[in-house]
Amino acid sequence: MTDAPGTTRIELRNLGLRVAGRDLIRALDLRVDAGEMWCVLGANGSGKSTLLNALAGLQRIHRGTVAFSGRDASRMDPLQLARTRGFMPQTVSDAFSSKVLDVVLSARHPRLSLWEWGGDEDHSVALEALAAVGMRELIGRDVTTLSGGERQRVAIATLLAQQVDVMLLDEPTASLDLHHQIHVLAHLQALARAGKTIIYSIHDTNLAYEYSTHGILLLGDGTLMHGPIREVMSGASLSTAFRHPISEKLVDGEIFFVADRTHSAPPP
Amino acid sequence: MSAQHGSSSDYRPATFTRAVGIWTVLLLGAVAALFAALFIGSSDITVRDSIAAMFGQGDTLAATAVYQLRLPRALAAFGTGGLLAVSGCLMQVLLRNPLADPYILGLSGGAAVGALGAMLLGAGVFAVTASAAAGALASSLLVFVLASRDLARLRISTTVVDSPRLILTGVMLAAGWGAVVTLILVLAPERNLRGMLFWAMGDLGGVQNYAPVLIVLAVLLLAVGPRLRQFNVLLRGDAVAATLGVRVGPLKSLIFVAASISTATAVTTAGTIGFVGLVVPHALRLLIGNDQRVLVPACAIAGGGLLVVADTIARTIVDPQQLPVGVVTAFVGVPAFLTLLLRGR
Repeated sequence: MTDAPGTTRIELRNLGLRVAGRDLIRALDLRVDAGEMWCVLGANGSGKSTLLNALAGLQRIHRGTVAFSGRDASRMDPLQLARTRGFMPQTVSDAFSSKVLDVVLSARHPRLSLWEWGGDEDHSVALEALAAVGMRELIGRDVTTLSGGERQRVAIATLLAQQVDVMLLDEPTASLDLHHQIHVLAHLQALARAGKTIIYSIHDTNLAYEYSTHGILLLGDGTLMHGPIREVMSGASLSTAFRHPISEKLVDGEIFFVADRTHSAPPP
Repeated sequence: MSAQHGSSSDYRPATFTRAVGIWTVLLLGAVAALFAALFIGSSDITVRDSIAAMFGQGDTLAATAVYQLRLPRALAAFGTGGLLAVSGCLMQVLLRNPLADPYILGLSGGAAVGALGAMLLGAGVFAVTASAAAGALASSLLVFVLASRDLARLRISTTVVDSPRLILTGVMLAAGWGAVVTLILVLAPERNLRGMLFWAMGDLGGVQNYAPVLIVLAVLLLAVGPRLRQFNVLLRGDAVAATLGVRVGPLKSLIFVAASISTATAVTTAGTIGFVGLVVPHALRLLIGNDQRVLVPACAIAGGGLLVVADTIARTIVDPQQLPVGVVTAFVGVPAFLTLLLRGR
């Protein structure tokens, strides 16, 4: 968990992803190291979720391999994988009442043997994870009564309690207000700086630019751009990816991406 | 026993010690219900006679009633109730749907068509039983084949949300079976209707053999016992469960097969007794929380105990007449559950 920055955590070799006969990603070679925070950007349907699902093992890989710390994911045991990488889906719907603490404790499953119930160590890991997202006081609350923001924080605490080096998050800021979006991203950034590897998808280009170290920009035709965030994101590359004119504006020395508002006015 | 209460910042998760405590309390209640079922009866035998007969004293009539009528029936009730409550709980986990009960995927309809069809043809008890079992298993097999994409192969599914196809398949089959049952009832000669109605409401009066339900209940608990922590994870959704190391497809198939065999055994033994499979898991969730490691064994004990009580009431309350036990479970279960649900809200 405390690998030096620069340790390779994920390696994609010749990765191809195809959904319903359409190539979303063709032959991607990519290395993601410890301490890096990668955003996945692209238009709706360009394959952001598909890529994250593939990394999480939820999506059939059409071609190529995904390797975690040098081991081919397809040859790893599900429990071994669950101790290596964690995944936070866009939404988790809870059909039944359940306590916040019990939800977070469910992430300890891959670390327990068959008959183990989970002891003090698991309990304190879960409490620490909840404290990290400011939910320590709500451990006995019913998850079905939480607000959208609180739920998202519980989901992040659950991912933290899994104690994995690689954290995959599908739109962790969707359905959050601006304050909570920044709170969540700052938290992920702190985790990355502490040595975790974060890969997340997001729609807000400016937040992505501010918080990510690297980016993957899906262009929607099976091709993509990837690399350090400042090389990948530009007005030109975003305009291509979103098929909409997006320009860079300098405000107080910082770059902001602004979408052209006259371009796609609704027909009169 | 109150996961419900207390301020939210000092909540403690379920421990094995607490689970054993809960099971012990429920078990004491179930044993008390079993003894009550042996002592209380419709005939002229008093409770005092029954107790004397139990210890080998008193007249042979009382001893016959206690050991040859009431004991097998009470044990069958316990096994049937336990199977139904656990199956209901399993179906709720499988479908992640609080409305699920053991019959939701159409199994009871298949069994009813089998049993009532055999009755229509004038078959004897054994043929009716065998036909009910065949109907139940045929119905399960049909669901399994039709919805296999949502059961066994779900792990490679691209969707993160649950597919409604499994539950829709089951509900559609149930509707189809329901129409066939109505058709049989319409075609049946009037003298057969009463027996058919008792079967359809659930009745323990004709139980010959209590061993199958008890054996299947024991096997069921042994089969799901080591996997109950996986059930907790599965309740959080297929995608989350898969990334936490659960083999979702095989686990779901196991739940479906286990619940189907259990329900088929219960239905074959006692007809389609309603409410136990829906009410017991939910009532226990409200009382002891939703940790499946505590809940599933608790369902087996409480479901069994509840059906023993209900059956004792069914055979005594309008003495010398007997009621179908399904009527009693509804009369007891519905108000009890609503009270639990609405208290303190």
